[in-house]
Amino acid sequence: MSELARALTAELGPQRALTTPEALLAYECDGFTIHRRRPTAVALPETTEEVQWLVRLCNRLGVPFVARGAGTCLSGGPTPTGDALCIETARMKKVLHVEPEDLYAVVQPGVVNIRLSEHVAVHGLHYAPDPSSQSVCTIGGNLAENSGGPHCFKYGMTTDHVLGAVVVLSDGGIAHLGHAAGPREPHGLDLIGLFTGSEGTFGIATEITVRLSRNPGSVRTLLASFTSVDAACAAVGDIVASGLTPAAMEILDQATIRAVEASVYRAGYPQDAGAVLLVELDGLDEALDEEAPEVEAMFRRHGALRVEQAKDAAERKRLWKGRKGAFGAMGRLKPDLYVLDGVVPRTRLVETLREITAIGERYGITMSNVFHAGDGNLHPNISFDGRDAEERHRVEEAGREILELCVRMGGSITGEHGIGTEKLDHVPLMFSEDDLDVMARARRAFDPTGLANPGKVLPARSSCAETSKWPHMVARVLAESDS
Amino acid sequence: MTNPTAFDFPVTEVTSVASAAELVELLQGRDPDAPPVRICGTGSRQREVPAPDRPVQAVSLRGLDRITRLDPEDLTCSVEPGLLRADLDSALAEKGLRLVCPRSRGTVGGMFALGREGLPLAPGPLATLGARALLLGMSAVLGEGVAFRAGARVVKSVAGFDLHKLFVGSRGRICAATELHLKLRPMPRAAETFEKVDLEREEALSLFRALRLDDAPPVEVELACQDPSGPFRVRGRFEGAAAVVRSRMQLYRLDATSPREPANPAEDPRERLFGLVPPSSLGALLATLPARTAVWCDGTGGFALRPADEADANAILATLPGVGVSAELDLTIPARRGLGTPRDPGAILVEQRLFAELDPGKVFA
Repeated sequence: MSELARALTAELGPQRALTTPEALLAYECDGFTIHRRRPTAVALPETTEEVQWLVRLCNRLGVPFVARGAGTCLSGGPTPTGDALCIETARMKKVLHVEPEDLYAVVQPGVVNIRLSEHVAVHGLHYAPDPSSQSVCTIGGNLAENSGGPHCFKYGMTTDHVLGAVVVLSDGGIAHLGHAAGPREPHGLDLIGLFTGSEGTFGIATEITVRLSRNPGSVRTLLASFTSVDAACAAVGDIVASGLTPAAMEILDQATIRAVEASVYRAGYPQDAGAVLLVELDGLDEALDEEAPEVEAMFRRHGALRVEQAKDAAERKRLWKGRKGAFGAMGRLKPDLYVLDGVVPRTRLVETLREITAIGERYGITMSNVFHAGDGNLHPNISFDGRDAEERHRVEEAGREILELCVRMGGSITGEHGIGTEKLDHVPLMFSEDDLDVMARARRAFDPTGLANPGKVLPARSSCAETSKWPHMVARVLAESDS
Repeated sequence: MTNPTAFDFPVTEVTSVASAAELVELLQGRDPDAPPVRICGTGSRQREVPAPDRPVQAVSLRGLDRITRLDPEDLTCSVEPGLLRADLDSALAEKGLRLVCPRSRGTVGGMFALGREGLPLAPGPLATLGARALLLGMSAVLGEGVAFRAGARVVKSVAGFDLHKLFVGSRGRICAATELHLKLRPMPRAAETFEKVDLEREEALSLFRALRLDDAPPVEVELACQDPSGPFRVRGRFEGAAAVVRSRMQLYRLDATSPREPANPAEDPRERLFGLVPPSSLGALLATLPARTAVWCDGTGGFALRPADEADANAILATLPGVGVSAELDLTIPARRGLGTPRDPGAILVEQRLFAELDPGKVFA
């Protein structure tokens, strides 16, 4: 047994210190299954003090550490890139404090996203960010990845709902970032803003102060089916141009509809449709009584085949069931799923999707699309068999081309899933050597020891622009995205 | 132009640059022994940030005043930092758009660098659109003259570290922005500004609380008084569907009033304590304040106090931590600007490391 394993077992006991190969198997990847690496050991702390002790142990032994929530990340964020201690926050699942009057809660990082909303429902409040995995993903993981979700269009990302955090830094020090009454102290830098989305490379948040939102007075959920994705996108364009701000606007293409309808997530979507558009409006009834018919009229102007409005909570749940279960439904198609996460300006959705279809055909891969249409955040999903090396190679190449396309369109390689290990080689598509150098310097301020989740977010110097696997592509895309 | 009288601390010279390239050239060619640099726009808000401890070279970015991109259908735009906020608002209004952030004086770059507007903005959904969400990305220059980019131009991106968020509220101490990518919203379909005056303390606090916690809260709401014993004024603004604006005005029996131009707080000779207070602690805060202290606070915790004199300000500063309040002095003499409530030593350490990493030559004052 290694010194690390001995120390962990002595301090935490065998239930909270996992060291056997069988126990570590579950930690070898997250939702991004292409990259796998087992951690050296897994620790399950329950308090800030225990996390601090673990980080100090890592410092003493020179072992990197990787924080992990529920493992639902889709970019390999919590998967180690070398020997590392995995610090899983699953046992840190207490809602420590709720302040309904001031609209905030303090939680441990292992609190499951939807459990927080359930916990504060008694006050008429909820936690707004709602990733598709919200029934299992954790607030700590959301903070690390700056998670999004269908309701970002109106309510924003995780960063817009995080007010502060107690953070264990990589040298074992503790910092209190932010303030319960606002994200930045009046005389300090917005450290919590920078920390959010740093993918565990700045330290481990052990207490997180989040903003709570009042439940809307009323909700109207509408589903329209169209002959094509183009028509659905055009309807979204009209809605935005009208000045309405729906809470969510989600599109599923035909391949996704069929996968959903053949699965346990069946929602009654019309299988002959080229696309369905799910629009949710929230607010007071007097506003929604005007806005819902307006949206319906816009659907019809763009040739909607069928329009359905949820009459009650059960119907709303059904309409969302297909969208929320889309990724799960695709699990039936092939053993593995690669969920891409590119962003383009919303007005370029149609041309981008056409090119993505062409890329898929060129590589002969099974692809479906479900996306946050209001934000231009695409999720091309590639179903494949990871045991087939040749197919896996085609999938990776197609993914690379799709992300390159998104940047060329003026967008981003990731809207809400993070860089992790998945997109390390694609980062130079968006950022120059100087950009990355400045980011590396900022990271050192939080992680002077370099032990916090090394190998994430910033590519190793050897994979930056000049020496990337795709140097010509990087140079071209950087030039085009500047224009 | 930068107003040369804006500085109440020694300035060796005011240098204007007209492009990012000029700024890079100026910083790269700078003598290491030269005075530190104070980045400025119009200079209108210099007294809201701590004064430098030695003479500085003021570098004005007011000449970088273009809207470099405006994509109305994508609800985004890019601007240079020297653009006046008022000019941006006019250009956006022509397209039926706006920046969801209270109007402010001076330049857009100064507004974000100061980070006061758009922090706690409003209760309800719009509260999520604070400055950190409005700023999607930026191009900037470090003190050593290295230009870099962070964030993106689209409404969602989590690629790389969000250094642009670090710019918000940094007061020009980390980098000088040369282009800012902003998130926009359509103009509201209806809007109404309201004001109630001559309210007793409990009456004002009760109305303020009810508005904050309403199902369709105003996008801006503020409570103010010239003395903690009253009388109080509650002012705010509803936006959204016409039916909702109408119903809220009726529900709270509010009278419509005209929107106000942003006030110039520097015209008030008293020094100011600017900070954050959890709204539920507002009553407790008021109870601790000496007579003749003017109070202003918004619906999500931002507040400003105007003590009658320095002795009162010092006394208030000593009591604030006890009521969970964080604050800093500004709009006062250089020697007192920046005095504030104690801060977390861990956060201070991280900040010091950030300054050491990103501005090792201590170029920015």
